[in-house]
Amino acid sequence: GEARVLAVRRAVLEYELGVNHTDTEELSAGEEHLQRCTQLLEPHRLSPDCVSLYIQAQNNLGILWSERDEIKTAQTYLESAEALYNQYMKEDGNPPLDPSEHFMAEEEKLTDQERSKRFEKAYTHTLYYLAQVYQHLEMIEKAAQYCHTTLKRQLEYCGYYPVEWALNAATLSQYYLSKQCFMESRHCLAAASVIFSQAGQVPSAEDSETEQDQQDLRQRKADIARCWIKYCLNLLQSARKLLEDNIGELDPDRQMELKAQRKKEEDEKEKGRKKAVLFGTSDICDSVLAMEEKVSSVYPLDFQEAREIFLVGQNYVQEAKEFFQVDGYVTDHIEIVQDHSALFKVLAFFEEDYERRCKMHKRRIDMLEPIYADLNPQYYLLISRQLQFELADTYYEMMDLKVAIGNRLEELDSHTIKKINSLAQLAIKYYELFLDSLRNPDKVFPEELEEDVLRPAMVAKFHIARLYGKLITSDSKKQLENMQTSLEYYTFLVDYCEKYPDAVRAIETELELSKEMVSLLPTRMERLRAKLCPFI
Amino acid sequence: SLSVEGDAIKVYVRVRPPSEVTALTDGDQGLCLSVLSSNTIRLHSKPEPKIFTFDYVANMETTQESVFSSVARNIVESCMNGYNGTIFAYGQTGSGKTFTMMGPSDSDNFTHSLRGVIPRSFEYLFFLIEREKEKAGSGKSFLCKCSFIEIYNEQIFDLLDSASAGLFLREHIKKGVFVDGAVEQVLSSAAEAYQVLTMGWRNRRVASTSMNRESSRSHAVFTITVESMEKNNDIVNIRSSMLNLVDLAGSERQKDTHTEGLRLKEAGNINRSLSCLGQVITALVDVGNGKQRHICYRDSKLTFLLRDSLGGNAKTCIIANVHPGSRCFGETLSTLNFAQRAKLIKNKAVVNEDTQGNVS
Repeated sequence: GEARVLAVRRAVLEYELGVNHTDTEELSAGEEHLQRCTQLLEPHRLSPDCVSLYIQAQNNLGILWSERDEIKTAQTYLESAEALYNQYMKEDGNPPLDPSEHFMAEEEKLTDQERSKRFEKAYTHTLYYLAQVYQHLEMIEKAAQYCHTTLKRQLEYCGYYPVEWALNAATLSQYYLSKQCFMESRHCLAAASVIFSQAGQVPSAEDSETEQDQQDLRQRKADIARCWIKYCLNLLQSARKLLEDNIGELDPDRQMELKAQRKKEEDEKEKGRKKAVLFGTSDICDSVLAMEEKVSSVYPLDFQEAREIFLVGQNYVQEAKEFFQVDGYVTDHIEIVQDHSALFKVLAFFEEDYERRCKMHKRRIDMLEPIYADLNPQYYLLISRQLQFELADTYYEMMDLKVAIGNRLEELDSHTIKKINSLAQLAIKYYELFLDSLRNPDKVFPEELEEDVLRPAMVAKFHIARLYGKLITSDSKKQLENMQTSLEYYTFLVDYCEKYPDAVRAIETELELSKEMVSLLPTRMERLRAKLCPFI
Repeated sequence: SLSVEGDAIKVYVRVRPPSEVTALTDGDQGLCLSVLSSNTIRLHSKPEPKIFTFDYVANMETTQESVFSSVARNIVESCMNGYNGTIFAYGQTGSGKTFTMMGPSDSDNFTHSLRGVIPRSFEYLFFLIEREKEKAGSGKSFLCKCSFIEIYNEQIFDLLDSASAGLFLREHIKKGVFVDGAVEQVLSSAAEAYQVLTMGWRNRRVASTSMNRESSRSHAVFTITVESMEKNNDIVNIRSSMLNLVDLAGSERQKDTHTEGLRLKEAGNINRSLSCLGQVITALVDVGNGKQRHICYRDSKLTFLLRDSLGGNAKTCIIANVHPGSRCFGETLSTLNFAQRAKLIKNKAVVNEDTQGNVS
């Protein structure tokens, strides 16, 4: 009756006052008004003229409490708003009155369509706030799920800017990557690409599309391409993890096993897909599915499958590099090149032929070396170190491959020996450059290593020790010298860990082997010396 | 040891004297903190007081000269040796940031006995340059240039060219990050440097009234580039380094951000628009393994520009200014918490290292 109408109208006023107060950072006054609003509505909160207002009041109470750093309290308001929406939709579901309508003349009232749009928007906000609340409470999985749902609803109710939406979806794909959920990740990326392409088509409202806007658009496109690169890379690397044996080679038994398992699982996957939250209604959905078909979301199990994913990744590398050129975007450009190198590296794992594998690593060298040579370590110390280490590792890997190839021959020919030695020398060179980068301005190597460089530095020392052991020479004196150097590097590791026992954890295996070598090498050297001067 | 000193960010706290009004009305009871030693501070929080430790704490009596000596001298020196240096000033509006950095606001600061860290750094820098020149004779020459920019709302403005708007950050493989198109002024003396700085400072104030930019919400970055050229027979050795002096936005504007480190974005933890959904998702991804992923959202302009100073190849210090009045308790606590976090920023050398299969 009359009293109810008045109570509801008072509630609208209380709501407006509450929002006004919280907007001006008068939180206590705001809380009072918002509380009174919900109290007035409490008995009628499920009725079509109150439900939307009630939800919005609770949204605002959620914001208010989060501003007081009481996230738990905020959570209760927002979750109760969520529950109310669900209950209303289940029991009634008709487009409810918008709060603004309570003081409107009859002829001004909104259409059902508009009502529904506004109501859904308020609920989308609830979910969006909940996403943030869960993030602050470190309920990461739940937060991601609410982000996903928010994105989905934005799409359904057309409340989005294509570029922004696409970037958010692409970013979400990276979350799924970190959880190894490749199907979800690919879905987000495919949707991002589809929605992004809308942005290019729609001419902006004003015709004055500046060059800056164009530039932004090109960068965003490149950003999405980079998310795709990471997708391909992660998928390949995860597959490698599954397939490798204890020395890092492809395990054929494991390969067979996984192929059989995959066959069995293919049907199950289809069911899982239906459970996942899909983006878009029919039209968009079809485009997204078409986009998805261009790259697999299951682990590649052999070279052919790996190569297909690699090629997709490589295409995105080219696309990303078109925008992120070295002149102007040094860091981004190098990151992309590093990804490209990583793609080759993981592809090489699937390659059976050692010569071809070696060539893949050579490709990595060819892309990394010139960049490293140009880079000024005064401004790019971190990247510079990464490149040094990666170049060293790549040369190291190539040398190992050449040794393996050589071992198949009856006898090592001089060409192969030369090749092995020169690769080893180059690996040593880059490890040493890395170690030099740790020196202080007075060129002194640190007494104690910082935690973040401890392991790489130790691995560099260890690898150098091994490399000196691998150098091939017919000159026994030279050989003795190399053994001596090798021993020194092994000794460094052992001594360092004795002095700083905390370091042991970081390099257990290397330390064990180093200790062994430190005890073995002197005997070997003794024997060699004896051979050199048999009469002493 | 030397190696540790090089990388970590140093954090200094300076406590200003309470304003006369506070001192008169509240007496000693009106203070929310006490300085225990030259590196510890006690905050009278309830129920338990809280002790903070920093690299250096300047109490109310500490002189400008001694602040300069402990904070900036070392940084200016390493700048002469070819390393980059950055000094940040942080704190709530009214906590003494400007006094610490510039000096008393009313007079000609450059000769004033109470002049701040910036004029003193200029003097010291040019003193060192002159000394070097005398030592090396004609074989060595120096070129100093400066720029002065303001970051407001993620846009970059050139304070030395009030006509310009919206500059962009770019990177060069040899020169690092730079502001494309920013005016660079050649400097020949400390007095000249100070003149340029004050002119830019004035422009900043003009902009804040005429263009609705609030200076307490903007960051100002004054950069001096020192280039030295040394000729030894036929070999020419060129070295270049930068000294950044940064006036950060008032810390009271960041009270709602739950950011770590120096991500100074104007966003509450819950925003009314959906536009920060990206930030939420980014935060989710940060939690992941952190390596093979790409985040579409770039760092803020400030952190990008000063990336090198925030955990890079540089000497960096933060001067956190606090007001001791009990009315400022909340602000002071958040400033000290921020300063504490800043100490954790270090040079993160993430080296991509593959451990598998290499040991055998």
